[in-house]
Amino acid sequence: MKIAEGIRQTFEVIASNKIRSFLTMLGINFGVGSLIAISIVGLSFRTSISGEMGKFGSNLIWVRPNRDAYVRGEHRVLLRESDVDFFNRYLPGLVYKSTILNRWVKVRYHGKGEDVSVFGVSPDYFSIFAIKVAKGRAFVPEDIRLHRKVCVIRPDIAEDLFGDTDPIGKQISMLGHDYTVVGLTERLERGFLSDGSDNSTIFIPSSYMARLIWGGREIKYWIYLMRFDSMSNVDNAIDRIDNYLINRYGYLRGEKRFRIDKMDSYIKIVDRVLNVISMLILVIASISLVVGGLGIMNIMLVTVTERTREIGIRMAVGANSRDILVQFMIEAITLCLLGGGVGVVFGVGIAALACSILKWNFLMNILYVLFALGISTLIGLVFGIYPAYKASKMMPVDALRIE
Amino acid sequence: MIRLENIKKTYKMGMVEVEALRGINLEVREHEFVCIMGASGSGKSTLMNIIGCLDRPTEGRYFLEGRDVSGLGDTELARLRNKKIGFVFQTFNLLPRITALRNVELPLVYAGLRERERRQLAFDALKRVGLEHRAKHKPNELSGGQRQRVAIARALVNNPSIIFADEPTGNLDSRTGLSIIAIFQKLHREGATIIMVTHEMDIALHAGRIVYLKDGLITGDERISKPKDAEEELSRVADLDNDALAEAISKHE
Repeated sequence: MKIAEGIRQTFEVIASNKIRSFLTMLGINFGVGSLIAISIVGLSFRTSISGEMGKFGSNLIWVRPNRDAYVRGEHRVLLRESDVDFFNRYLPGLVYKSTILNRWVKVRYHGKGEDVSVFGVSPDYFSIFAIKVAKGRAFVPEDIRLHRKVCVIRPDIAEDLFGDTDPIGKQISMLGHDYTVVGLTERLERGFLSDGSDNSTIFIPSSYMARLIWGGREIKYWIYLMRFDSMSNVDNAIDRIDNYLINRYGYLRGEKRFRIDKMDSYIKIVDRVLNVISMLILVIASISLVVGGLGIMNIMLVTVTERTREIGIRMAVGANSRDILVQFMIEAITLCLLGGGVGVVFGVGIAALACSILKWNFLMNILYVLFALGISTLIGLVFGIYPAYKASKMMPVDALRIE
Repeated sequence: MIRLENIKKTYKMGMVEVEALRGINLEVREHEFVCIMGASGSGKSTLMNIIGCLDRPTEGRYFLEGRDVSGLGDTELARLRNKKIGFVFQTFNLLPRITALRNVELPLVYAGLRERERRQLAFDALKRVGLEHRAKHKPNELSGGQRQRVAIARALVNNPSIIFADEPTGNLDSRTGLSIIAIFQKLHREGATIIMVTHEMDIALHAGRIVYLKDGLITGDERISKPKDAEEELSRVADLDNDALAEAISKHE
């Protein structure tokens, strides 16, 4: 009973001094609200990044020349066919593999010509980078085996060359030959990670690009991507590749000539950075909460002093210390909960707005709301107890004497 | 009902010790209407605070309904103030932000009653003082006399054994004051035990017994065989709203 009555009395107090109550709650508002907003935005952000990185898979690695070994302008040693052969044959658990060779090429279709970034890739490329086709298909091993001149194009270049008509089956002229369009990819959304292509890229089998780049000379590669089926196979593969390349190419100026990068490392780095940022933000939000709490305590102390007479009256009609303590505690906690509730609504609103602007997925977890409300209650408890205690310790005689 | 044995109360004011009460011996029986009179500084307020359980004596014993309450803890004293005692103050002491009804309900809140019961009892108490039609008004919407009546209703609502009134008419004009005394007399006729403090002889003569306090000691204790009747006086005292001044003068002439 006492609690219901205490809450009722708190609302009577709030109603009689709306502005002051509002200002008091504002302090807690901002603290809780920002805490919630940041948590939600942070969660959405992390999930977006994890999602993107997850798309490419943490079992992805890639090999390329080590920049640190060379000085500016120096000729770099590149991967040869025999190296790629070794990778393909002696690495267990290898699921997808691809190279990337790209150049700016002039392409033509029925009089329309453009300079386009053309990527020479293997069929697995589309799986590695989770590129979905909207129409038609990606490359299949048969295309390579049968030396088909096929291409897959992105939406913007499709629109430029073909307008609204279906690009599938049409032929684009480039590198002195005609390439049949077999697939149109989905639109590439702007994200954190990229394979280097954009919505105007055209993909062709790597062999043709290699021919363009190397002419009749030995074909070499700048990069080779590999995805494995398990993390243990990834680690195993890295060891083997490392040994092989060191044996074959040795060191330059103390550095390996080739470097092997793991997607997993990047994931870990990003995660660590996000953790630090989250911690930092949590600290800031906590500080603002403490400030809000101090505000509550301050106001409650003033309130208690202001209502000395009232406390005396209540004691004169039979309230004991505990009644007074409970009354002011309920007041503090209710103010904090109300403020916190508004703060949560405010914070969720801000978070939703931020996510819609940044085009992240708005992720709401009810736990965050409960946590925020729990924190509000705790603050009311902690910062309300001293003023409530002071109030309860008053002697009725003295309290009634106050004007 | 009340027995005070050698009650003493000493205050420390800085370096000085003030003996407010220097040995009070007093007995008040059930259904008495007693007035405690004294000048400023006589110790009457201090005495009221002690027998109203708002304060504790420094020495001596206080028996309330046969029970020694002078040594009780704060929580027990609070319970006595709630159940056994009804207090009416000079400055009304109503909570300003809530309605008259809620004000009268207050002791019942601390007595632990449920809302419906409280509401009914509070309403009944307001009826006894004739203010049931003002139940939803806040104190600042009531006149002085009405506020004091609400305070009396609050003092009655828990059916106390004793009603204490500390200068209840001090902040009221003479006519309104009389109407308040009339209410106390009505309650007394209905069986209440009342102890009132006042410094006005006019008011004190409405009681059945006057106890005179001077310098912390009782110097007089007299019965009044024929107390004044406030109701009767009210009908005789001029009320400019109702009486035509000219008519009164012409009657005289």
